[in-house]
Amino acid sequence: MKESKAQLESANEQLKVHDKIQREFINIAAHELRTPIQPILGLSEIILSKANDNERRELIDIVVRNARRLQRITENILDVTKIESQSLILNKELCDLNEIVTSVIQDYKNQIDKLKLKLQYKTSGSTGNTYIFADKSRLYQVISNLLNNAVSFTKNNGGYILITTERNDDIDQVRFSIKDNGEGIAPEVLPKMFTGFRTKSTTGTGLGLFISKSIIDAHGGRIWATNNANGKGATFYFTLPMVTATAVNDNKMS
Amino acid sequence: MTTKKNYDKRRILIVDDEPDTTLALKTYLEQQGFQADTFTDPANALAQFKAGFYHLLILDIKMPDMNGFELFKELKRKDETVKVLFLTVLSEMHEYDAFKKKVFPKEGERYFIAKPIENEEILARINTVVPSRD
Repeated sequence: MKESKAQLESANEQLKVHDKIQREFINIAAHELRTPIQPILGLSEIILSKANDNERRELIDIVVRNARRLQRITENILDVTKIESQSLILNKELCDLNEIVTSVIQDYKNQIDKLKLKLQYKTSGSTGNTYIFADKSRLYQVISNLLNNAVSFTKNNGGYILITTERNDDIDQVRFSIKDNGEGIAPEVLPKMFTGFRTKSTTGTGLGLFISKSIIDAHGGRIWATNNANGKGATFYFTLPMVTATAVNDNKMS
Repeated sequence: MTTKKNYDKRRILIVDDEPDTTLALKTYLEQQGFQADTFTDPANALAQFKAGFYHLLILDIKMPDMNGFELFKELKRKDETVKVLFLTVLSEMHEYDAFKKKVFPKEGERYFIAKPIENEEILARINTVVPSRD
């Protein structure tokens, strides 16, 4: 009995070592991948900006798009390794959620116009700043991931995307939502879409929701999704604790 | 701002150990009307540095032999007024915290550009650090 316990412990140790090696390998491999993507993307964007004829533009545009996709996948893999080894570091600061949302929308504006999608952004609840204590670039990443998903779900349907942020001052919480009129989410996928990598994705963002959940969790918030009641499309939500006006003033004075 | 650096073209020195990355950045910046010189070897960049010539340094942080912070300290000794932007993978920043505190004891994070580099983002950042005269 004692012996088999020792054996189990030793096997467990070996597994841990193996797991660590595996993780390090993935981390190094993703880092190595990242380096060559940079010049491919940078230079093909330059060629794109110089290309005069339409056919050439279209072809180089495909190169750019795919280089971006490869870049996003690589960054996602690196993030997942960080999350799994619990080394995702947040640089939190006082910021305004609405400002982050606006800058994400700004960055997607060209793409949305090109695809002739309709995007609306509403803030509701009481007016004023939606101050949060958060890692700006990580929240940008979450919102960008959700918007990117919404765009790819709706783009073939003359899509409509509605983004809202809603303050709830009673519990000092802000709720973000993004609603699309795309194909919706299969019921069997819905409960596990944030927890594993099983969500099959055609947009190269299969890891994105897992990462988004980890980021929102790390901010003390919650993220979830539902299919829309009218049977068309889905809505993704997250909540975050808000920083009260008094706390903001204290912060500014210190 | 009437210094000896008041040239028509803003001059940038790029040091990154990845030659293709440097080339891509140089090509983009030259297309945007800058003059850009590049080095892939920090020691070489230091040896050939022309004090008073550049408006801005763009330095990779993670390089073999000499990291970007060490290089910046040396370059700053030769040219006190030169501005800097560091290229960095944000997740690796904590490895350099000690250097960062030595080089920028008070100043915040505004000298860092996260890799992967976005052309438009880097252009916007350059324009805030070294504004064009017109």
